[in-house]
Amino acid sequence: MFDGFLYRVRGLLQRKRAEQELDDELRFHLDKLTEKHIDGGMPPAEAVRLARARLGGLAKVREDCRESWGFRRIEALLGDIMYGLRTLRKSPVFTSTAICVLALSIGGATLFFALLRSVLLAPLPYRSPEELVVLSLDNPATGTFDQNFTVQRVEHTRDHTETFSAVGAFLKWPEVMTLSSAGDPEALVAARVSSNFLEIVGTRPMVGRGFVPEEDHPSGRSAVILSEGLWERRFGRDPELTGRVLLLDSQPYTVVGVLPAGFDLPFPEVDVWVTRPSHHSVMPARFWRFVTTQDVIARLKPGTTLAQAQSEMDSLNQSYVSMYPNNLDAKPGVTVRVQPLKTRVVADVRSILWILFGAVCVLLLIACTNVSGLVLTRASARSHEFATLAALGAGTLRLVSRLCVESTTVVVVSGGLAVILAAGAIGILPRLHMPHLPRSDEIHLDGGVLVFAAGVAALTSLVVGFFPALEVARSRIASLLTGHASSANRLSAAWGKRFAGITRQEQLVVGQVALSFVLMFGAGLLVQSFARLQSVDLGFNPERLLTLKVPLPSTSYDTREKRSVFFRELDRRLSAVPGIDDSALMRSIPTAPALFTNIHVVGRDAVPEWEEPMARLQSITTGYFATMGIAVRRGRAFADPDNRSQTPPTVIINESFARHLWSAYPAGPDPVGQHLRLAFDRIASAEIIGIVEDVRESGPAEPADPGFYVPMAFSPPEKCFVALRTGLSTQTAVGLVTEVLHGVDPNLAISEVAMMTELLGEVLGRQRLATALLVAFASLALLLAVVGLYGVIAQLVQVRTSEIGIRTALGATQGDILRMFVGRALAQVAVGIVLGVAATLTLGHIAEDFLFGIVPSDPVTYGVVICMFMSAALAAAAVPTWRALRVAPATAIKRV
Amino acid sequence: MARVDLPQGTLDLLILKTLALEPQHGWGISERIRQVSRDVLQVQQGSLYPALHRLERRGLIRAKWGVSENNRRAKYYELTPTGQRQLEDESTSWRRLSTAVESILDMA
Repeated sequence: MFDGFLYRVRGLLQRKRAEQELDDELRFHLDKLTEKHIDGGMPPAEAVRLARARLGGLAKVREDCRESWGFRRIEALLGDIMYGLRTLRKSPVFTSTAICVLALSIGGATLFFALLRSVLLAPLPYRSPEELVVLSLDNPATGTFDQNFTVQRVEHTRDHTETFSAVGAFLKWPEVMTLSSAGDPEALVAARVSSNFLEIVGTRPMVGRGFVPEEDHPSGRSAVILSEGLWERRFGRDPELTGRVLLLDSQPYTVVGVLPAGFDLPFPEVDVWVTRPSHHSVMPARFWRFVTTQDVIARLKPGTTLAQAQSEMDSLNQSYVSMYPNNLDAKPGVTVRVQPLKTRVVADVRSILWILFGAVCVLLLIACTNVSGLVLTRASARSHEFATLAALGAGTLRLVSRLCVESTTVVVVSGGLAVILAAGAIGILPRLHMPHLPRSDEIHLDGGVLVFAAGVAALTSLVVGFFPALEVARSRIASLLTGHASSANRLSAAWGKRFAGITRQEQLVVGQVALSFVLMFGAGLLVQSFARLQSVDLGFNPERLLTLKVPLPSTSYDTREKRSVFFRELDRRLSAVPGIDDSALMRSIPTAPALFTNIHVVGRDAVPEWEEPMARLQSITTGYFATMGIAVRRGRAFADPDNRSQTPPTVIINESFARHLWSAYPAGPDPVGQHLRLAFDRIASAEIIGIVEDVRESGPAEPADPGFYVPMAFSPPEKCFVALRTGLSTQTAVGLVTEVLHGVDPNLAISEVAMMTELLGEVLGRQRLATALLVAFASLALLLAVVGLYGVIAQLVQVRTSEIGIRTALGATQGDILRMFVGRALAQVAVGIVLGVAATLTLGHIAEDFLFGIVPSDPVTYGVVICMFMSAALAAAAVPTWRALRVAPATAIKRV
Repeated sequence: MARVDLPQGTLDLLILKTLALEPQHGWGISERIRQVSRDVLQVQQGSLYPALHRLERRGLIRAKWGVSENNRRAKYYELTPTGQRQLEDESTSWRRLSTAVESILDMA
């Protein structure tokens, strides 16, 4: 069977040669026969004639041989394809429209499938990635989720676990360390990980070795592993680098290895990995053991399930809470969450990717029905051709195949284009910097994606060809039922009747309207929600606000006094720089990680420290509120005397803080004049001298936290941010600041230079991208639906041109005619909208997580989108009708 | 002696049998069948070549170009192993058929 197939394919490919050989073979036979006759004494001419006669007509023999080659059927199909290509070439508008629509939508579906496959479905690129889990803490009682461990809890878990083969930790935020040896000072992104971190993940350095346990001890040697990027950029891939000592934050670190590019744990774009995950620069060393900074990664023992690990963690949690009830991560109600590392890595994009994939599939479905409608329209125009073919004896199958060949050719071409488009997009993806898409460097086109694309194309050609084929089959059966044989006229008439009703196309339009309504409604919700996010009052003015970070090495700035002096000097010099309108130093800027600490109102009943309210601590210089544009609601802002460590400590709170601790605020007792105990800086009593408006420091989507401000001198951080409001270019401003900074201390470096508006933009980046994509999909869908509707009405009008003429002649006004067709169009759209509304009401909850300040059943969005569809329908129907009305009735009636 | 038209389906059997002796071109096959049957069996030339091509497609014989007795290029056919088996099967069933037909004809 297969041999036979191969034979046929070969024959098909070598058709010319096969013909030639057949000729040679038959000629040889003829010659032999002729020779024989001549040998028998016949005159040569007579011999040739007789030989030919004996062979039974050369053409007939040839044809019989060809028949036995067995590719007649394939040839017929090829003929149909060639015919299809010819007709396609003759109608370039139809062809290019259909190919564009399908290529875009198949390409989109392929691209998003590749994204899903590489980002969500493919295992992480580490050894036995399914064994890797991360641990975090939830506490429904306090409404906190996915929180981190204290060092003590990490140790407790590590020492008692039997389900994990190893437990490691890393500091939950990336740190900045200043490299001050081997050239100019440079601020590097550092990850603090436990010494077993690389071993747990199963990644080995490309040069040198990983960390060893003694490097985790405070007394042990300090070791550093570099990224391949840093190794190349700063050390020219020096193979002798391991063993060398580098100065990081003025401390000696021995280089032990280099990790290959692309390794992005625990964060992307890390320059150096160092040990001792609890040692960090945000808080003084005495807090390190007690704060919840440890992100925990662990490897399941082979064969252990997540559920077994979870139940072990539940019981370890109980023993931990009873052993250390005072710890910050042992509050009543706390539970441990064990989740696969992959779930954590893709958590932020999981649902949005699925939603966009769903949207792009809906778009594909719309495109299919749209092209299907186009094919139907063409089929009706070709009804005479089909009727003739049927009359000549072509079977239903042959008719359908002739019809489908055209659409299948379109789909095949579109499918090829789609794969090229998707491959192009995937090629560009890694070059676009996409901080919001994890694993973006792993996205690639593989066999699975190609199979998907092929499958989608096959399905598409089925859907596209299905309705037209159904129509042909039904018309044919109808004609067979009405008459004995398929007389061309009767069949043609049956066709005409069916297509005049255009019910099938109208059904397709209703479907398209319903689907695109769902997309457009979703896009409308996202657009409104995004607009609301952008118009949120942040509590400060981000325009023209340039921010940058100055990390202070803990060795040369080991005391509060040294840091205070540095900050005062830097602040003084910056305020004297011409061109910088306002400037201030601060512990953290909006969108950056912040420090939360417990506070107590002096004079109130004492509670255990871990039950005290938490608030955001912000250390600032006196220019802060003016620079940020934060309004003072009550009392006053800091003045120069407040920022001297000799004066009594003062504090300013925000309104959330005031409401949180004085529930009657703004009425009731005045917080201004009261005193706070600030645990973090060991300040027993600081007077509240003012109340400022709330600031949404985490971005527009998050509510403002209770927060308080203390002068820099009372809480000097280990790194500071500088904020400037300036009309100068970023480059000039950074140059000026660097000059000033090096005037104070030439060993310091600037990092994380950014405009505040950019940082806020990044916070909203994912919403922006998702909104833009969904709007694009929805607009395309609406366009397709309108084109579909236009096509149906245009055809309806064309078929009934003579009827229009008669009606006009009998006194119907143009308005009557318009109402007739436009009403029909609006009816279709209305049905589609009703279906669409029903779908959105059912699916609304999916969108809930992405919405800000708007509910999924928002009536305004419904109103706007319905109006949008209705007016689009009106236009799509009115244009062809209007055109028909311009034809004089007499001409119209004659045109049958 | 009068010539006899071949019964349906027997042409394939005769071709296979002829090729079982040695590879042969189409002309040779028709001549051999004619000679061996002492001019009784006359292969319809018009059906010989379609039959050869059909057998080739079914993989029972294969073709290759060779040089004939008087140095002309000719297409030679030879039996494949599948063709060999097919020949054995068909010969057996042909013998059984002809024996059966004979014994009926021989009924007194």
